Parts: sequence; structure tokens; C-alpha cells
Amino acid sequence: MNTAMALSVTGVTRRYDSGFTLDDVTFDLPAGYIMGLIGPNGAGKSTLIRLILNMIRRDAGEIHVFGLDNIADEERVKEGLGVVFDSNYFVETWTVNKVEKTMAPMYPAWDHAVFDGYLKRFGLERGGKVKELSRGMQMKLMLAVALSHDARLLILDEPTSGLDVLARDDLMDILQDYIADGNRSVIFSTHITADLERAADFITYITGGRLYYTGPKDEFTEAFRVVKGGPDELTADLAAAAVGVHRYETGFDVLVRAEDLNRIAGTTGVDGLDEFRTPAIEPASIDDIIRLTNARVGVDGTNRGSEAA
Amino acid sequence: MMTGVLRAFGLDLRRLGSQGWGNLLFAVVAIPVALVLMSVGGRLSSSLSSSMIVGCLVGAFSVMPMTVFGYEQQGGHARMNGVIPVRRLGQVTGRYLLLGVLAVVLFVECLVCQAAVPLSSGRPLTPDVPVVAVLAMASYVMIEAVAVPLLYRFPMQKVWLILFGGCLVIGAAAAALVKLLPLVLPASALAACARVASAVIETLAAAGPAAAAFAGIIVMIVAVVVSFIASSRIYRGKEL
Repeated sequence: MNTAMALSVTGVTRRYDSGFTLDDVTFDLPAGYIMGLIGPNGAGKSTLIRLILNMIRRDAGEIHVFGLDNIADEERVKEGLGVVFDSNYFVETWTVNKVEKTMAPMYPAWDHAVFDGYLKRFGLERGGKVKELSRGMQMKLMLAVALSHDARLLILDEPTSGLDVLARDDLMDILQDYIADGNRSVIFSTHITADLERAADFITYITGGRLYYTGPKDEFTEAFRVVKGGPDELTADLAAAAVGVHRYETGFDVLVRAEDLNRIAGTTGVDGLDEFRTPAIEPASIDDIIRLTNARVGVDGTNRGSEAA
Repeated sequence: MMTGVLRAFGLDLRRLGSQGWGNLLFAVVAIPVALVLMSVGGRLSSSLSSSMIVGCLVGAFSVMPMTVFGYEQQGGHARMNGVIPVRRLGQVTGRYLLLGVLAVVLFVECLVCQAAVPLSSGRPLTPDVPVVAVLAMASYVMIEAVAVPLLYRFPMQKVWLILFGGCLVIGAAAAALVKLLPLVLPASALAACARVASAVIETLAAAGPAAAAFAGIIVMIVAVVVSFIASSRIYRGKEL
């Protein structure tokens, strides 16, 4: 066990009666970094976060937070965690002041001045009731609580979903400042990949309950290319190498591993990139990778749509 | 462990006072005041006032823990139990601690009411005041001992249905038993049953009110222990 790891998830499995299984997920988040947890809806991101928080029982595996078992040492682990969910978890009739009075005794390291500072920064009034706050302001209140007890690991489940672009920018700044001392870490799930481009050092990508990738963000996008072409340019070589295909009336997008490009006839260029020829080869964005690695049937029932290989 | 229990207890207190402490205080104070006002001028007989005191207090206090569960079942507030640094066993223990505190408050309030109501109507205090208070507390604890594990397991509406449905079924079964026994059992067996029942009643009466209160306390402790074990097991496996 590496104590320099903020979070170590090893072989974690959770089976649901519905048939969905989060299957054998393993990844590490080193201290001092931000990890983005990505995947389509229903991929298992929230399940994974709830497992880390011991909110649901796991069927196999281990989870360590700063070297401590998340179940055996639950209280010590949670004293060092800051948590933000995609929607409010406080009693709605509480005021902001009552939220502090409730949460402060929970944490030995609660800092009233820090909380107060975040309230001012976020424009939250102490007398305001939780139910009267907008979704974005409720998220900021959860964030203020998460940041006011010297948490060493922030866990954020879709924190930006209710925020406008300015608030998202502000949040990303806060997260960057938060990890600046090199001892604190952040893991956050999101659908908004622009946030990842800006803030994340690592990516963990889950799809269909399975871990698809975990590692540095840059390596993730560098590992793939998107090949785009007309309807009759999807060769057998290309189809065989495709990680995912999206067909449409005027052509296709194919996701391939960068290392496989030289095995595909007619796809050469500097670093495998050549967007001025057909089929064109372009860098893959995180959205491209998620889109093309998830099977989806066309709405008209034809073979148009995405096919994950 | 103790730190966690106190944290959970504090959180439950905050939940209980979520509508404002004034409301809670009013609920606690309103019953004695109303009973005293009713008893002025001797409008309540001694036996009726005791029954009313116990009924009103047990009813009012029984709803309080349900309020706490109610908040947990609203929106996403249950997730807070997964955020706070308290193990699940600590959370359940904190809740039972809250029940204990409420039971003590009920006991004290029952004593106060039983003293205030006769005095306000010019009647002397009866000697069974502490016994009635213990029995009121025992009734409250018994109700909660059944309700709390159910509230950990089921949504509030279902728990109400189970409790009321259960009372109806038990009542109907008891009534049916009383009607059917003479038809099924021979007269000699019925006479034997009656002798046993009267012997038990006589023994309890001879033992005095202190013995009844002691028996109530023992039953209360057993009920709480069984209830706590059930609640802990249910909550341990619950998804937050």
C-alpha cells in the first residue's frame, strides 16, 4: 500500500439485482493531483463514489484513502474528506448558519474563518435558507463546507452540473488552489469535459461498469485518433482497427488507437495526424473518445450511429 | 466510537429542531398547559386526567423521532449520513440516545403534568404518580422499539400502515379469540385459564405499583436491546 496515494481503489466490484455490475475497478490517485472521473450516464461513476464513501456495500475489492481502509477506519477517513454531490444534501429548512452549526462539530479541524471566507466569496448569506438557494448556490454551500475542515481529499459528484460558465471557472480555480500545496487531491465526476481539459491531471474513464482507462489526461487523448471519411472510405483495415465507429449519411467517424494507425493502409502523416487528406486523421477529444467507445443504435433503426468495438 | 455517537446525536437534535426550536418547545409545553386549563374547575376526573396525560404525551413524543426519519427520507438528505465522519453503528446508537433523552423528557413532563393537573383543580396528589410516569415512558419506548427498526427499513407511509394495520389485526385477533374460545375449549379448561389469569393479576396487585414499574423497566430494556440490534442490522445493509 502506497501512503503517497490519496486514493487507491483495488478490484472494486459491486453487483446490482438489476444486472448492472461495476466490475473490478482499479486505479490510484496520487496526492497533489486532480482526477476526472468520466463516463456516460449509468456507467458507474456515482456508484464508485458511493463505494468510496461506504454509502453502499461492495462485493469485492479494497478502497484506501491516504492509506486508511475506507470501512475499517471510516471515521478518520471521512474527517479528511470533503464531499460535494450534484444536488443538495442538507435539510432544506436549515439556514446557512445552521448548516455550519451542524457541520462544525463533525470535524475536529473545522475553521470558522475559512467557512466565513467562502461564504463571502460565494455570496452566501448566513440567514438564507437552503431551500431558497439556487442549485448553483446550494452546490457552493456544499463546497464551502467541504473546504472548511482541512480535507485532504475532495470528492465531487457532478459538481459543475448546475453552474454557469463563470461559476465553473471559479470552481476550477478553487480546485487548482486547493491542491497547490501538493498534499491534497481531488476526484470529481463530470459530463462537462471542458472542466477536465482545464483542471484534471488524471482521467479515470468507466463505461458499462468497467474501467476503460486510468492514467494521465494527456496520455488518454494522445492514445487515440479520430479518422473521418466519406461513406465508401471505411476500409476493412480501418474497420478492423476501430475502437468505435459512428456512421452517418455523409460519412463516418472512427476512433482508433494511435499505435494502430501505421497498420491501417493510407493513414500516414506527422504523428499519424493529417486532417487535409481523406480519410482525415484528427486528434481525439475526450468527448470523441466517450462518444465513440459507447455503442448506440441509430434512432431510425438503421446501422447508422455508434458501434463500440 | 463515543465521539461518533455524540456527533450523530447532535445531528439528530438539529434535525429534530429543523422547523425551529420554538415549535418543539411549544409541542412540549402546550400539552401540560392545555391539560391544566382543562382541569381548572374540576372538569377532569382524576382517572381521566391520568389517561389523558399519558395518551397526549406518548402520542406527541412518538411523532418526534419520526420527524428525524422523515427528513432522512426527503430529497437527498440521507446522503448526509454517508458524508459525516460517523460509522453506521454510531449513527444508530446516536438515534437511540435521542430516543432515550426524549423518554426521560417524557417521564419528567408526565410527572409535572400529574402534579400540576390535580393541584390546579384543588385535588390532592395521588401516590401512583411515579408509576404512571414510568408506565407512560415504557409505553413510549415500546412504541419506538417497534417503530424505529421499521423506519430504518421502510418508507414512513408504509411504517404507518404496518403499525396501524398491526394494531387492527392484533385487536381483531384478540376479539375473535375471546369470542371463539368458549366455543372451542371445554368449560373446565376455560375455568383453568381464568384461574391462571386472576392469579397473575392478584400477584401483580399484591406486589404493588413499584413491582409493576420494575417489570415495566425490564420489559423496556429488553425491547430496546432487541430493537437496537434489529435497527443496526437493517441500517448496516442499507444503501444511502
